[in-house]
Parts: sequence; C-alpha cells; structure tokens
Amino acid sequence: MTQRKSERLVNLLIALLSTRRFLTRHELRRIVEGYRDSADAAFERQFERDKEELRALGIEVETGSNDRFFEDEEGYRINRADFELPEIAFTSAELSALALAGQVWQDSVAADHTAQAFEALKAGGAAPDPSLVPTVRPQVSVSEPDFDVLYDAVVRRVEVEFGYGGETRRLQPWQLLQRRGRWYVFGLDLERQADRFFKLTRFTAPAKQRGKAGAYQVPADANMLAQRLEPVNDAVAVVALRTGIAHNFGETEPVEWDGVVPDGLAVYRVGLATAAAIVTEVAAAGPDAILLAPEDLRAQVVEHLRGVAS
Amino acid sequence: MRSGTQLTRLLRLVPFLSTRPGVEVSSVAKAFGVTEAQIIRDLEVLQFCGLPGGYVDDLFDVDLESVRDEGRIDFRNAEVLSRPLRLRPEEAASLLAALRLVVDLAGDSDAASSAYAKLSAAVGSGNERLKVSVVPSDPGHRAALTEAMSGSVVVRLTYHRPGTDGESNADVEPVRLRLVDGYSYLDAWSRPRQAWRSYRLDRITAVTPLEETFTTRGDPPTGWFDDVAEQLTITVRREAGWVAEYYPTTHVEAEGGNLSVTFPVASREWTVALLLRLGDAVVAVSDPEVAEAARARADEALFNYQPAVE
Repeated sequence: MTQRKSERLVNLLIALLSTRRFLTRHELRRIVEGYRDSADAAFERQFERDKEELRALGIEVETGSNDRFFEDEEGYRINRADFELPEIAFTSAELSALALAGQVWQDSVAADHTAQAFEALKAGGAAPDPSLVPTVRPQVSVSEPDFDVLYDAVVRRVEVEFGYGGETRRLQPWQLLQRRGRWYVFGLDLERQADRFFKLTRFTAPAKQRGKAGAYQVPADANMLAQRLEPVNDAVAVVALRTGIAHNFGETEPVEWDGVVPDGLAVYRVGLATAAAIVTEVAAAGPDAILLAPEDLRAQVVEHLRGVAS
Repeated sequence: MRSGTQLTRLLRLVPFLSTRPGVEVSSVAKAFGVTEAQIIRDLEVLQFCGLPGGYVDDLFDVDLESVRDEGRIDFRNAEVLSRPLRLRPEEAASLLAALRLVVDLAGDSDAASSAYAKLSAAVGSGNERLKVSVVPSDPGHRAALTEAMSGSVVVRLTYHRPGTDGESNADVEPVRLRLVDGYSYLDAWSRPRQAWRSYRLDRITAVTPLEETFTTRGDPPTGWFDDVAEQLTITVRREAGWVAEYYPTTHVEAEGGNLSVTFPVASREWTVALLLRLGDAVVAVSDPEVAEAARARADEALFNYQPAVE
C-alpha cells in the first residue's frame, strides 16, 4: 500500500467516524483529501475499493439515508462502538496469562496475528506482562504448509479447493482444529453436501482460495458438530487387563466374566473407534491383555500376534 | 504482507502515541515489531491526516523534524482516534485460541480464565475458528502441581508407566507444565533417577506434596527427548507408514516399497509394545535384542489364547 493510499484511507475513516449523519459520496469527495483531485470515474472506483479495504479490517461501513420521508441520496458512516476496542481492565496476573498466550503459537501466521492483537491491547493501555517466569508452557506448532491459506479462508469465509486422495475437493471451511498434534480443517464439503474433516497432512495438492470473502455462513452449531472429531467408540470388546497397567483404552467398565482368567487380570468392557484399534491395543499390551469376546476380534488378535511370534 | 498491515498499525499507533507523550521511537518500533524507519514513514502519513476540513488545526500534530533529531515523539490533537482499532477477526481467533490453551493447561480457577472471559466479552468470541484439543487431565493434580511449583515443594508422584505392571512412585522437584501435541506433561527433576524427566499428566494418578522444599537447578532441557540417547530403526511396509506420522522420529527414508523409520527410544517397554502393535508389518529391526523381546512377549501372549485343557 502506498503512503498516499494509507493517508487517504485514514482520512476517509476519520471522516466516517466523526460524523453522526450519513455522508454522501459527493460530500466525501469534497472533504477527504486524496479524492478531491480524482476524475469522476476514478473516484468511484477508488471509493469502492477503499470501502472494501476497511471491511477487510473488520470495520463495518454503514449505509443509509438521513431523511426517512424523502428519497435521499444514500450516505455512509462508521459506528464508533463497532470500530473501537473497548476499555478492558486486566489484573497483573491476567496480564501475565496474556503474555503466556503470546508464546503459544510457533512459526505460523497465527503467531503474527497474535502479535498484532497485542499491538491493539498495548495501544488500548493493557500491556501483557512477560516478566513472571512461567511455570506452564503451552506451545502449538504448525508444520502443515496449507495452514496459513486455510486460516485466512476460515476467518474471511472464503471457499477453498485442495487435493485429497488424488481428488479435488471443494470446501466451505468453518474451523481449524488440532488434535494430537495434527491439524484438521472442518467444514461443508460442497461435492458431498455434508460436513467433513480433512487432515492437512493428507492433502495431495495445495489449498487455494476460490471466490469472494463472506461467501457463506458458518452454522451456529459448528462447534458442536466438530466434537465428532473426538473419538467415537463404535467398537466394543470384552478384555482382561493386568491390574494397574497403563493402556490406551480410555474409559473401562468392569464386567462379570464366567470364564477363567489368569491371576492378576481383571475383566473390562472397553470401547474404541474401530475394531482394528482394539485389536492393536490388545496386541501391544502382550500378555498383559487378553481379548475375550467377541470371537472374531479374538481371532484377529491371535493372527496379529502370530505375525510377531517366533 | 497483506495490504491492510500499515493501515491497521496506523489506527493503533495514534492512540498509542497520544497517550505516551515524548515516547522514544525505538520503544514504539519494538512495541509494533517494525523498524524505526517504518515508524518514521508511518508518521509521514499521519502528519497529513485528521478531521475533514483541511485546516491546520484539523490535522494531527506531530513535528517530524524534532522526531528525527531527538528520537522522541510528541503526538497531539488526536482525540478523534483516542481508542485503537478493535481486534481483527484473525487476531481475535488466534489470541483466544492461545489463551484457551493456557486455561486448559493451568486450570480453571486462575487468572488465565478470567482474562479469557474479559477478552472474549470485549472482542466477541463468536464461533471458535481455531481450536486445539487437549487430552484431559485431572484439574486437582494440575492445581496441586502448580501450587508445588510456585512454592518449590517436593511432591511424590504416583503414575502408570507404559508397558509396566502397576504403578510407580517417584519424589520429584516439579518445575514446569508443558503442552506438546495435545498432551500435557510435567517437567521435573526426578530424585531417584537424578535426572530431568517428563511425566504425562493423564498417566499421573496421585500428587502428594511433601514437607520438603527444593532449591532450583536451573532450567530443564527444552528438547523433547533430550535425555534419550538411544535410537531404534525399524523398516515397515508402506501400509504401516502412519507410525512415522504418529510418533516423534529422527529420520524417515523410503526403501523400495518399504519405509525405514528411526525413533528416539523412550523406554525398552515402549519399543517392544510398538513392535507388537505393528505386527507383521515390520520387515526389519535394527536392534536384534528388541526384536527378540517382542517375539518372546508375543509367544507369551499367544499362550493365553490356547484352548483350555478339559
């Protein structure tokens, strides 16, 4: 952005912010330095682009007319409450927590955005305080190259296209989620007309934005729908586990079992996302776990173990 | 760089400067993460901005010559922009997601969660666009550890060790909670081992503060497997390539139709469990002793599946 354009935009913003009545294009052209010398057609183009620039920063330019009874020319203004960062009084402990949040994002566009958020807070009188030596250190890394494009698309509500399993997929992205260190994008798959998760490391062609910002609405229950990325226990089995052993089954429910189990083992009902996951976990535990039922999974464990045994 | 970057900065620079008369150019540059030359360029734009009207009194008042001479900024007549531009959507999303993590890691009762509440009320949290899910751990354990860390109190940990029977105890000097790939860890000096150790919080079953305090030993290592010298290379068939994505690796190489993956070894038990998990997808193992241990454990496990003798 040139210095001249920045100057024009700041002046336009101030003009729209300091007025209570709607200002017409004609008035804006007269009072905003930078529009005055433009020819008619050039002014119209400039003005449209400038409004877009302001909207891209999240500044809403209201349109309306001053006179309710006469067909007045349409005018513009900015509501101060929509523009300004409200006063926020943080305690010193809260400022330390904010400083810690400032260190969470590693090497990604999210780190830049967080730094810019701090500029706003500092300008508003709240300075995140990094002086306390933190005893907690949350860090999130982003190694997936498509993250930046998708983040921008999620925030601005722009459709994206990317390769997945060798196919081109089109998505209205709603959310980016990290689970166990891996990033997923969640949104409406336009081909399948259903909400879907895509793992960023599995992209086979880079994500590209398609079309305009604000192209769709994010459903109000997107957050709830996203919960499904949490494991759903579709497969259940009865397993004998050595008491006190560390395992990856999550919730276990003690159950009665008629058969004999070796000493030191107790019987539980366990659930995981897939039958294959149960078989793998039981095999990983070696003699500390026995899959008791159902019979077909029991056979799979035996087969799996034979692949390792002598 | 996005085109709105300078504009965003200008709209925060004005309130920042007008509330800090005589502020040094160098400290402004530091607060906004740009060069001093850029701050001067920003001022060159702002000197021609202000209320519409075009009179000298309408413009912001800044004397660039004295800024260049003295390295200090006096910025006046800026009441029209007394508050900074609010957080842009992408800034709010990244800061709130980061702060959410601090809350998840540090526990609900502290300053992080009140800072989160204030910030989301001020900027409007809306739909969470960025989310990092954390494997849940006991808030009581986190609170006990946080308190022990701030008072340098030795604690007795009771925890599950993967691949072992029952629970282990260790008296440790807790120094830091860390979040890596969605899991929370405690970094602590282990007294029995006389070494830094990381403990996964979801594997800790009890935290008991002892009567004793400790003197700090300096910062624990920052790396993830710093205290692990041993490495193991296994060759797996393509279909088991997920292991390279799932576990920390130091080297991955394609070998014909197979994948050769080198891991830092957390413990012998972990490696044996990994081989059991992979089953017949393993083609070769660099350490024959580990391969033998896995075979023996599989044999032992298979014994449990023999038909009962009538």
